[in-house]
Amino acid sequence: MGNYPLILVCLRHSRRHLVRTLLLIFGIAMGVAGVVAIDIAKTSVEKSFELSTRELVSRSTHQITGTGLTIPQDLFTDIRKDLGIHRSAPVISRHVKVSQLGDRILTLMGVDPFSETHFRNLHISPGKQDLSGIMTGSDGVLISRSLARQYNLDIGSPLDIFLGSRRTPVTIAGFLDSENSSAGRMLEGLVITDISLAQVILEMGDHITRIDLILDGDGPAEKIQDLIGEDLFLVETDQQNLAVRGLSQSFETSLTAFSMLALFMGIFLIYNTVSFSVTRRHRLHGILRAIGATRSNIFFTVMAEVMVYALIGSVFGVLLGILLGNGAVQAVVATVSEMYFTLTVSQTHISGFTIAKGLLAGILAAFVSGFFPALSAAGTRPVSLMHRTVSEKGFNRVVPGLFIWGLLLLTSAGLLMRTAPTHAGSDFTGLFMIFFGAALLTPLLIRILVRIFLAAGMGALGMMVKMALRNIIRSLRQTSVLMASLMVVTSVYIGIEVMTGSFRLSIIQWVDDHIGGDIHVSSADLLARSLDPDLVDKIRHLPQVTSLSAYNIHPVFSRASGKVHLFSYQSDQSVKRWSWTAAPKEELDALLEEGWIFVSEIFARQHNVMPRQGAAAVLETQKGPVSFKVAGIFRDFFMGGGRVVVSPDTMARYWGHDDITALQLFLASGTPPEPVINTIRQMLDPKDMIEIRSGNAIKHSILAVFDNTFIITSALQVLTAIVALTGILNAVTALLLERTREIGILRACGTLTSQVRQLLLHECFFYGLLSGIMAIPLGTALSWVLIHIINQRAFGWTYDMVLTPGVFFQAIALSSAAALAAGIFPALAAGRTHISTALHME
Amino acid sequence: MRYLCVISFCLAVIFPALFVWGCAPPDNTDRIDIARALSNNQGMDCYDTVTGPEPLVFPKDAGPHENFRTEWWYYTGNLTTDQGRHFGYQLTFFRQALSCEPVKEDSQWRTRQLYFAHFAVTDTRNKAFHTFFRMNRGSLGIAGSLAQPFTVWIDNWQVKETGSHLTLDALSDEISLSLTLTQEKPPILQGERGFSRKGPGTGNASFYFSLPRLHTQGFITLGGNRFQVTGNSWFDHEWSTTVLGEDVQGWDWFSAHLADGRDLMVCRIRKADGTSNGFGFGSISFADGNYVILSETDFTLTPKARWKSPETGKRYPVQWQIRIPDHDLDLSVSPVIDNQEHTHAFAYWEGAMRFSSPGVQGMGYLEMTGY
Amino acid sequence: MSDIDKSFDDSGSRRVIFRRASARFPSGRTSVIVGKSGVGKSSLLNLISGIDLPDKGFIQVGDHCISTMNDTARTLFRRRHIGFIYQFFNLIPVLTVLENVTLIAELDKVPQKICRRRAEALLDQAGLRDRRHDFPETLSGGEQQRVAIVRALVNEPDLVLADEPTGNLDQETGAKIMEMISGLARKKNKTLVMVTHSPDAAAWADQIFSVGSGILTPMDPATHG
Repeated sequence: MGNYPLILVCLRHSRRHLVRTLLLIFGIAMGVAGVVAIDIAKTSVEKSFELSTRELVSRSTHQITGTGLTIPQDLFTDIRKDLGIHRSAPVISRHVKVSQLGDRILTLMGVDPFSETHFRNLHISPGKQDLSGIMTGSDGVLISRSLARQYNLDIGSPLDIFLGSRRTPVTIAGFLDSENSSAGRMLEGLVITDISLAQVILEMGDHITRIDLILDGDGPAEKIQDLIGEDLFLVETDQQNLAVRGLSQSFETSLTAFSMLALFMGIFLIYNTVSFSVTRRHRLHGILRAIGATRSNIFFTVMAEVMVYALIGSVFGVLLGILLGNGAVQAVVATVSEMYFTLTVSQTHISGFTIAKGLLAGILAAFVSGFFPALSAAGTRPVSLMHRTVSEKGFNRVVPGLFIWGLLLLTSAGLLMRTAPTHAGSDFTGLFMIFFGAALLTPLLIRILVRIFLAAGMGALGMMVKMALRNIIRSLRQTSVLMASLMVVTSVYIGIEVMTGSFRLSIIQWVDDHIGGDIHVSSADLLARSLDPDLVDKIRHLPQVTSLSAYNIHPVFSRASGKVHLFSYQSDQSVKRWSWTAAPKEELDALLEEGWIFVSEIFARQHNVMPRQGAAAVLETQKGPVSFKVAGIFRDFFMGGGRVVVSPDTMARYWGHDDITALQLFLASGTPPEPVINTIRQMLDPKDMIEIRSGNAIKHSILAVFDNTFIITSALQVLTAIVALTGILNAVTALLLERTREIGILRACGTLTSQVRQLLLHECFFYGLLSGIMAIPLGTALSWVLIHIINQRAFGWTYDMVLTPGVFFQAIALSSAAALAAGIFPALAAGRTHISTALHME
Repeated sequence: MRYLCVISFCLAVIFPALFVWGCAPPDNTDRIDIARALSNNQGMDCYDTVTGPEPLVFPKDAGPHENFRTEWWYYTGNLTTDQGRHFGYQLTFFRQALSCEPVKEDSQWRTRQLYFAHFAVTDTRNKAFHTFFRMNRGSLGIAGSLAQPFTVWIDNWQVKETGSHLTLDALSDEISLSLTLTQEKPPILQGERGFSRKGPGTGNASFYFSLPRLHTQGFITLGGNRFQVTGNSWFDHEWSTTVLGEDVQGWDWFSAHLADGRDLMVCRIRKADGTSNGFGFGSISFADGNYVILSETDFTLTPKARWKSPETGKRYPVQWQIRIPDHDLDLSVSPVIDNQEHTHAFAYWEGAMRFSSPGVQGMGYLEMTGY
Repeated sequence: MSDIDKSFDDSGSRRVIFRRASARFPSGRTSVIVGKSGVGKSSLLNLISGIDLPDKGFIQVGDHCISTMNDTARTLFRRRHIGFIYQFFNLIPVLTVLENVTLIAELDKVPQKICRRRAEALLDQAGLRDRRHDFPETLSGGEQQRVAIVRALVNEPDLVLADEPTGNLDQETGAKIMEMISGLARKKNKTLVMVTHSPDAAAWADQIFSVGSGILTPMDPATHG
């Protein structure tokens, strides 16, 4: 018998059950969509990063930067004239806000057009005005044409550039155009002008931000090293990009983890859907076998059909994923910009690879998912010998075996995560093994749980409950797949919820411990950072101020992690509760005075400071690189490349700062901070760039950043819910379909429509409830993995896992509700069962 | 005579540089209308203009004249090694003022002076022509010029007066030039004591002087080999503001060091129809340093054969016949190699030439623009 | 005690099963319906039980005209007044023998004690006492059918409908089942309507109807088979 007529039969069968077929396709589509959406978000961030850095950092191989993130401009003349390195470009670059451009954070970049030749390709369309005027003194800037169009601006339109609170009016002198779209997107985040005007706007004095270089070989690099001395750094661009990139990349790693979760869910759902669709054909296959189809005929027919739907579903999934991905991109880019690096590009990047990955995920998952059902379909006995329970009996026999395999998988996953903790690939393998292992445990667990339920007297709740529970065990082969999927989805929900919840709690704790002051006063002037001692004195003597902490924050450049903030507490009245991740020696303060340092977790990780006593870290000082002993590593959520606490003496000795750059004020309890802030504002010279914020405002803004960061995870949760609902709907529909005959009997015997519906809803509820219960340990394990392995790697932060019963109740409620919701439609349909037809189904 | 050349450079090179920060060759079509820009004298009122002869004073006039819009220092020469291997070189510095208004002094990067330079070496034996381009602002000492000691530089390309000599240094990645130039003849004040008319309009003129023969010795490094060379160089220094007359298409400028000690310069300015605009000029300097100024009626320039640039498609007349009957000169002029075209933002041809007549041989340079 | 009077009509573009067919099954008697497959024997039972509705005509069971009731009323009527026995036993696989038997009563909120007592009494009679906590899958065909009979009778229905009750059983077991059905029916004075093509079954009949060409034709039980 050729396969073609069989496929035709199956496709006809599908057409007759159009809704179910559509659900199958939709199930596959949702799985694929999840994968594609997350992947798009991830690759877009990657691409944005690449564009934002590489295009701006340009083709340079090296950069010269300074400790204070500025360098003297004369250095450029020396490099050009004395060293003759003409592939060098001075750059001034800082983030500003432009009120006419929606207060977006843009990069104001000052360049020397004549040095740019080797570095960047910027195409400019000038207005009538001569652009060279910018060099002599006009206030023209260039922005991308598309950005201008978005805000209805034209050449000649005025812009107000804000650096902190300082406003500089400028004029659009021309547009930046681009040949290709990626460069075009990069341009949208830029305001470009001549280096002279940028220097004025950004108050750089006679400094610039950096010099980009293209160096061949080591010779020129050595010459530059000799020229710049110890104060400045010659950094290989790749290396420096890597430092920043590394931070963001780890964030993307966590996204990858999420995309893997989405893929797992996808695979489960697809398996679910496919295996149900095959089961539904049981009788059809029996008839076909009876009339002479071979096992392989059936196998190939089933596979062929599954693959047809897989293809259709995957294509739809990719489209849907692209749609969802668009939203995810915005969220992710916002996060990365907020935390690591202002991405000037925030366009969705959809690579062929992503699409291929999505398609492949769908098709492969469908193949794998279809394989075993197809195999079992091939094993269908001819119709006359068919008995429903045969396959169930066979399945029942393998349940304990599955359980053992599940345990083995879980154990090896645990071992893998413990012993190979440095490789992302092993994490994902581990995650997959956990999910798969847990799924293998489900049949036995379900059986045990149902027995417990029945034994605990749930049977007494009525015949319906009893029937519902027993039905679950009776169709264990299918219900366990359904419930395993639901369990996986619910556990992802728990995992994310626990992770974000714990994280948030830790952050609140940290904010309370470290940003305890009621008012924070700090210098916003990058170049003249110190606060006027008179001002400090005046503030100290304000009647409302009970005590005051003064400290110096000094940003230094680190080869390993980019910008590192050095803190030295000149007078510390605040009660800080340090959370030490590496047990510190007792006489901490004494050690600090002796020149030891405390470092934050991120710093420790970036600098490979091992969490043990006697570790040392190298910091760039005025005297060159110096190795400091690390007294302790503290938990810290400070953004950027990490934080180092040094004593005021150390700060003065190695960085030459003994001034105060920031204050924390403690007010008498009950004093509102706003009037005090106003009083301090009045003390200031309007030219001072000093930021005054209340502790509350800081706390809120930190939490806002945090919440922003996890928008994407919330989005994932929503996606999870959608995927779960679809999958369950499909599975429940299929499962309940099998009850048709039984429902017929019940109805014939006098069971009311409403009672039949009740029965089905009971069953659904128990699917959800059991899945929810099983999801609790899995979800907890998952959150452990997310917190202690993936997130730590991603952000460099550790925090304690906080488990609240609320999350578990929520999860159980969620899965039960999802299952119930999925059951509504099939239950309604079942109520309408045509009894006589149902009775004669077999 | 490089007036046109400079203006065109300014328009075609600087502006595209502002428009296209990058090495992609600009396509000028919708970016710049040279003619319009040239006739646009808006904001030019505050520049000094060249309207009549003024006495040139040295060393002051060797240096920059920042209140004129355009200025250049132009070194070309033919050099040979002991073994007779021939090289041609060109090192030219241009200054272009961006504005005659005073500069806002809030940043030291501000400037109104822009410098750019061309550096070329013709390797006759390998039939290779190497050309390089630099441009930068006259800020922070990155580029600039001084009268005393005379210096002009961009980055580490520079010509500097040291004692009685000039040292000339230029290097790119693969080629470097390090020469000492010694003046052998007094300057030629071109035109009317340095006042050189280029067109019929008022101000269509420049101040122009030449050092016709600079004995040159030094080193050329090329492809890792260092060659000791000697030869002669020609130097022009010219400044102006509103040089171009209407309807000018380009020019053909020749300089030659003849074996009999005479040094020749002739130039014609072409209109759009290819004919001369009547303001051609030239000079002959004799072995004793005396010179005569030539006007267009004193010489004829006849193109003989053309060479088509494979890169730009332009067809340059690279073979010429120069006749100066009064001085008994009938010179066949041919390039040492055909391809000596500069293909930076603004394409032109400038290269080492052989001059020969029945009586006398010589080496020199030819510059052709507007083809 | 109950008197059945019905006439019905099925017309339309589809297959016509009954055309103005009518019959009357006297109460307390056993009626057997015979006919070829596909002529509508099972449909007839469905109509009588209110599972299906006729397109025209009316069906009356006792004093109740079930063809005019709504679905819920019909279901409740079926639950309380009609017992059903099927060819394929149709027991609920996830319920034990006892639970299968008491299911309907429990759904009807009959106190558990009462329905258990009734069920156990009937199971005793059917010789299934020892198996009352077993699941149907573990029973033989005959045992399953006995459970089904007990289930049909446990609610003291007025009318028992049997659709080929012996069709899936061997001859010997079938005979025992027939004996049990009719025995119980007679003992409790139930009206029994049975569809069958078993000649043995026909022997138990008080009255035989033949279904064919859309009508029911009464036959003499003696002449049949």
